[in-house]
Amino acid sequence: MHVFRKTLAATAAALALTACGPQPQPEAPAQETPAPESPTPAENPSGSADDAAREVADVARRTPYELDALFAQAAKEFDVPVSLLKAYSYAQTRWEHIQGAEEFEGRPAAFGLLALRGEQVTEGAALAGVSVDAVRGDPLANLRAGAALLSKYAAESSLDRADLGAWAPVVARLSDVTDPGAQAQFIHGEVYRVLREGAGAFTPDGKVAVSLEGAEVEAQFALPRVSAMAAGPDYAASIWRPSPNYNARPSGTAVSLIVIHTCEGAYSGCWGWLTNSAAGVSAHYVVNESGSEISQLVRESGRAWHVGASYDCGLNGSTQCGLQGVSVNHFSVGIEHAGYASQASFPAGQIDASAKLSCDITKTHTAVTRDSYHIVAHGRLQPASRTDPGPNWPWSSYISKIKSFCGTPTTAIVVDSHQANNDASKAQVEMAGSWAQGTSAGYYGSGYYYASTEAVSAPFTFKFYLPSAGSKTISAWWVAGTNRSAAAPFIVNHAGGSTTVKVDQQVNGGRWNTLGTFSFDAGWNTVQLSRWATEGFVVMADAIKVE
Amino acid sequence: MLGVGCAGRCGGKEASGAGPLSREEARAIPGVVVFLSERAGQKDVWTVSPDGTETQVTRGPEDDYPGPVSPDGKSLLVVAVREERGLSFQQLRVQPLAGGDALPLHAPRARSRNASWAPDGSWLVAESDAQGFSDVVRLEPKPGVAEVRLTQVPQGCFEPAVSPDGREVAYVCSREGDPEVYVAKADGSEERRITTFHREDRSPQWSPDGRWLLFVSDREDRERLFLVRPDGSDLRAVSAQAFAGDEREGTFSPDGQRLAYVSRAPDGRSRIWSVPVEGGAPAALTDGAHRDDMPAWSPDGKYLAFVSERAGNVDLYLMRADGSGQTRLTTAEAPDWLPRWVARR
Repeated sequence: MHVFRKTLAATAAALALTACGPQPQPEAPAQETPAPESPTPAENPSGSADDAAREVADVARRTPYELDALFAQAAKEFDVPVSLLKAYSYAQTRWEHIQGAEEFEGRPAAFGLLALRGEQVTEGAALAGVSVDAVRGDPLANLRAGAALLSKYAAESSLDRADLGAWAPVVARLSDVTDPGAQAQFIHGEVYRVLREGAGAFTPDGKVAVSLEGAEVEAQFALPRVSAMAAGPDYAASIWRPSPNYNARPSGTAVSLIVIHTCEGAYSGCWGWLTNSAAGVSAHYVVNESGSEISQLVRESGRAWHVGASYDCGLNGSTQCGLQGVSVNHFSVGIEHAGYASQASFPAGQIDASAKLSCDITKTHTAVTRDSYHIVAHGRLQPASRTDPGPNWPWSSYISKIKSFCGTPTTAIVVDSHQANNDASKAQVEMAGSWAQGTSAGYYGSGYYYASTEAVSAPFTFKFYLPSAGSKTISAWWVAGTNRSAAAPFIVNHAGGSTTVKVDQQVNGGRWNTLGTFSFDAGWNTVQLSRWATEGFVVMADAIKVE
Repeated sequence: MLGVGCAGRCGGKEASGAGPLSREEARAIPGVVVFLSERAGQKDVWTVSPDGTETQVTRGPEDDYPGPVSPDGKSLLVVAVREERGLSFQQLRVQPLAGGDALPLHAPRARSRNASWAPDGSWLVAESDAQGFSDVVRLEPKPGVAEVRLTQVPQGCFEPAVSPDGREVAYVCSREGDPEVYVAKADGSEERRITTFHREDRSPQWSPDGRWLLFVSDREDRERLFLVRPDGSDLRAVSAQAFAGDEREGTFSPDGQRLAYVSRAPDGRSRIWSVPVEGGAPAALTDGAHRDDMPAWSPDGKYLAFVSERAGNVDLYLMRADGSGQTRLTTAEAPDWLPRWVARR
């Protein structure tokens, strides 16, 4: 199959970039998407070669070893198709040797490349003749234990071992997925899909970690019910798989938190578990590994049974509720993510899909401020945490992605005088002549630049990028003081020419001061602070805002 | 240029000083380390002396997290946490270190954490959801004293820290749509804003002389530690040009001259650094080959306790303040972490 080869080539190219640092885009992708003339004002400011290389490095960290030989050894010893063993491992862990945790009470933690749980670990260890600790901690022992279990199940169902499709019920048995719909999706949509399409993974050194060639195969297993999939009631880009595990929120309570969880398992098993009334747990949403599918399980107006810092006033005769009888406890929307807290990185597609979902939730529930005190990991509910969110959940970029997805064309651009604080794809500064740094209190960001007034141009230039032409209001921030110019000249370069706006920087410091509203062309525009003013004072370049 | 205290290799044979600390040297350190251990299944507070003698302080059934030690060194603030039927409960308790029952400061609730003691030990501040999403409140370490709300911001205020002179409290509020650092008088009045930027400014703490605030910001699209004067002036990045990965867990030496902090690489490895507060190049104290974090200065400022995964398990280690003499302090298979020193009197 060609898919894997294409993946291989693309990954090898990206790995080469990782090794050499930021580089121009390789030529091949440019043919498909012609390079824009100016920097792309991406809605989601990523997508540079640098980011692509980082993403590949992130993925490679999950598979730091060359595993093909181990898969082959375990498969041969127990007479199990090696492609099946690889596909199962891919579906469960993306070939990462994981150390799981118990996410849902009653569902034991998963371990190793095959995500073996509970009694499987014990039984697999006995069949493979290794210790339980080895099955949990050693990749080969884990594969041998899983292969031994598959082999045993195959013998019990006396299937034709040469027929790859006939293994489907055995694979279903090895998984702990019991819900029929989730089982069908796991078999057809996850394990046999990767058998058909193939996949590959690299080590951080660029060696092949696992290779799986795609092949024509059909699972001999009931297909998922082909009823039309309804969209989730609160999020159109989700599939509605209602869970019985919820109750009403007390009236008058506002959702103020989004809690991020990891499933400690693969996608189908996760929503399958959370929609089972016997499990007694749930979440509002589950996002799959690649971000291509989201399930909504509970309405946002309901209280899903995930640990979410919510506090039930009815529990203790209201004695523990807020003073003055005010119910002020915070309630949350819970998002589960297929995967494991211990995993080395999270797929970029999953982070993007989750950030879009979180953005949508914050639009409905405005009490959820888009910051890391309101969008938190399960572990962040606790005073300190070492292991949960998963130390490798990309918090900072997750929150900024949410903000970016929620941005509108009218979202303000701030151009700060300290370039390190700017998103260089849409805000930059330049200075001519000598400008000194200052940090008297009242500045925006990390400080400001100032220069003496004199009859030279030598301006400080704030540049901002507009994806389309439009009318924008420009404001400026400065730190006021008696030695500042009373007529500091800001030169706004707009579609109709240049307009100089003189401001008194002796007053109105530490706040945004409007310079005016102007029409700007698409592309890079500039606002300059000139030094050409009555001598004996300074002009202050701190920050401008474009909105 | 980085000032590298141990030329890229620290600990073990290639440490800049002699190998592990001798028993005599360890014994002479004037303090014991309070820490969190998971060896009993749940999370409990334990202590370990620098020569390795361990004592269990709390015993479940909840998870107990060690908070700050009281100024007189006699008790420890503990955050007891449990999860029940999808609900989260937290409770602050004052735990006498000599043993005996802990004093709960309030009924269990969903948010009670990030406490900070006043210098005379007569009151403390913490995050509370008793009357709002998250308020900074003032509590007293006595039974039956009602807490006082110092902030009333619908979006919440977080992570309070009492100034060394007890007159002010620094904290974070999200009222602008993103977290900013504020300082107010100890009664919550006369609040002033310290930071202004549209990204996150978090986790303020005071230098021992009260002349600096240390905080974390992602304003440069990466996590960095910044210092700023408590009047909002003189902001600068702690590591200046020597950024080596997302920065966290900054902590002032007892004499206020140095900062220890952690940089984290994208692959999860982390490294401990030390930098003069007045400016200068950071020196690496650990080699960056493992996950080394959570540095905590000994009361005399000559040693640091820290957490390392270098031997597979999560354990406590000791080293001199220059990174030499790296010595394993705990050996339990379950994680030992969150070290805090108590001065030995």
